[in-house]
Amino acid sequence: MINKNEQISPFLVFFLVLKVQMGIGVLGFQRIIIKSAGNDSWIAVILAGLLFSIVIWCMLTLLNLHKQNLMGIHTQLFGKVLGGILNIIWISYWLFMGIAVYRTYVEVVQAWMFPQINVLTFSIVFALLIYYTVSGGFQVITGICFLGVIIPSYLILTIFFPLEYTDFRNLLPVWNHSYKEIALATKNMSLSYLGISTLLMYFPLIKQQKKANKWAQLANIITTLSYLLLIIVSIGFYSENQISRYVWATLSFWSIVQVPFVERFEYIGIATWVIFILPNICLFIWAATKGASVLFNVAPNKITMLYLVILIVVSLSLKNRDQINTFLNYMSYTGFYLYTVYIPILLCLSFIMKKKEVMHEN
Amino acid sequence: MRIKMILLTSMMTLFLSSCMNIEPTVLNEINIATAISYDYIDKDHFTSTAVTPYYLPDKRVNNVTFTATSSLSKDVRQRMNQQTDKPIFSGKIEVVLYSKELAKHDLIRMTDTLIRDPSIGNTVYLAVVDGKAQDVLIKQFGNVDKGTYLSNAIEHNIQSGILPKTNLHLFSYAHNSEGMDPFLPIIKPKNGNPIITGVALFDQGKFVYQTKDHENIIFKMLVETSSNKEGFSAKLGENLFASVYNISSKVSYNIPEPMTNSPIMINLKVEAVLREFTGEQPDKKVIRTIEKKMEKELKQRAEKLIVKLQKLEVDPLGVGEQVRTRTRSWNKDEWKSLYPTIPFQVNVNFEILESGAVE
Repeated sequence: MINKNEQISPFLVFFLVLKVQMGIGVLGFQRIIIKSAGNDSWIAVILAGLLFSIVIWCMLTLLNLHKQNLMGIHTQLFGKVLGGILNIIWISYWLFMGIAVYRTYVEVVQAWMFPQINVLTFSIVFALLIYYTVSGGFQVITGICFLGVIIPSYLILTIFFPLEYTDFRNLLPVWNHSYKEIALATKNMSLSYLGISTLLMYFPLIKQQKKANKWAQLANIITTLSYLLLIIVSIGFYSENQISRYVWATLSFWSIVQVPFVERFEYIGIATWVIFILPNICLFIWAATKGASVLFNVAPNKITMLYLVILIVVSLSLKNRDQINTFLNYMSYTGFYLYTVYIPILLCLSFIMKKKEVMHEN
Repeated sequence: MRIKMILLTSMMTLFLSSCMNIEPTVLNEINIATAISYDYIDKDHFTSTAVTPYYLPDKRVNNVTFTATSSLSKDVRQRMNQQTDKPIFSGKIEVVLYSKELAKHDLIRMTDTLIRDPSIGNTVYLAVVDGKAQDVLIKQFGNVDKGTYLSNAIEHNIQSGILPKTNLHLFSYAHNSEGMDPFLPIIKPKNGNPIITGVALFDQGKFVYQTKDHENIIFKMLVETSSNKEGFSAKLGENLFASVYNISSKVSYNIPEPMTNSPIMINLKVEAVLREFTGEQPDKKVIRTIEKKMEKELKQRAEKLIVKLQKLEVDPLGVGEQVRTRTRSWNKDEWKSLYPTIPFQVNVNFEILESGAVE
């Protein structure tokens, strides 16, 4: 049923998961969690990482049970009508996640580099790039994800520049926040890990699906470690009230970077960030396309085009920081509940259904 | 079909990229400001001066200044632009100077624009000018670009002189942290030649005190683990002087009971090389007495300085931060009232590593 040319090796799941987990959130997640957990934020980062390790396990158990993607599971469990409605919810979630990532990036460009940039023309050029990648099929997207991890990975070296001004004493005293504050921070932190749900769509395309769990978990560990490194340096580098003023704390690291050949490093960093977020947008748009084309039986390329028009229209209509923030908050909370509530429930339901089937047969 | 698509796509990419409304900023069509100064006029207004270097064909550098008055610093830029044929850009500002008069009112209001503007780096040096800030920039001297000159002057004094690490980021860090007050270098113009005289201490955003000559070195030692190429000298007795250089120092705190007014111990470990000695051959015993004398001298200077800081109720050393990270019962207001009452005890461990090239 599945075209051999579309399949990928299990180790590539590592890049797919890592890439989609570390997206636009890297630029400014610090402010949101430090607001509630202060110097204990690093605990929240680890807890959120553990939480997502469980979510990944849930997803893969669910997928291994059914051997098909989320669309198929929905129709199998809930029938055509209810399943179809649930499918539409997930499809729109992926589509709007893609838009959220894109709009946040444009906002960074507007705030840091070109305040007067014409968003329409920029979006059209970017949409062409997305169309090219998505219409190339899943293997092309996997390739872009691979490059999206490898090419920007040099940016990790810039973490050495702020070290000159960090005071790790700020991490002390450990655990001087209440459980409630840490839990709230964990919830807010988990918003930076979202994106992994695309796994629910591409799972049938993986060869040797049993091995996928190992690679997905490894990717989750690497994500957690990267966030941990960033938050620890941020806590040392900024004082608590100071960080609450920076929307993009990671970007502000770069304004401390001084290298002889370039005066302002942010310009290089933000330009590299295109390669960092392109795979995320493509993967979300691809998942939404795939779902809709099966559901409505329309050619995928037409759907992608429609999505890109929606992407351009929505990004143009979100005008200021406030609107973008509200939009992002809605997306984050929807995502959070989809992952931590909906998926475990779905897993339980499918367990019960399977058991019934087995009993029926006996 | 395929070729048509490729053509269409590349045409679109080509044309659309040129309509993105991105302002080109060609290097020789703009004025690159390298330093800016602010002077106080009244509560709401200030004068601002920006300096931009002009590189002349005969390798000379001409520093051109623009001056304008307003109540917001971006308005000032507008007024400056009205005076010149090329727009002024702030992307390469290296030093921002404030007059002492302005610093006495509130600097936080002034630094806000620097932090908000992403085109200004976090490593910009801020400094307070003892006198009119404008004078430092307007007077022509030497054949150098003013901004770079000032920035180099501050930089080498941080690396090997009397200044502790300082820049926009650290100023904002100290101002925003609960147990610390910011400080900035202070510059005095002398016939147009800027001289770094010490450190200006702030109570939150307000200038309160300017360190004296003899306090500079000990201030740096107390603020951070530092190395210092310059030395300092002490009188050991009648006609007996010793001076040391290449000092490296390390400061650590010992707070047995944080958030009470029990004593706080500050341990200072200093290593240095003997540079000048007016007595006889320094043998082991003499060196030991020099060390003892130096310890006493440093201890005295440090304790005097700390008492002064307590009287001013400013905490540039970040003692509050040391306490905050050692206790779970931190309370900002309680600490504020506690700080002036705490007895400090400075323990100096002075070691002379070498006594120079002679024996």
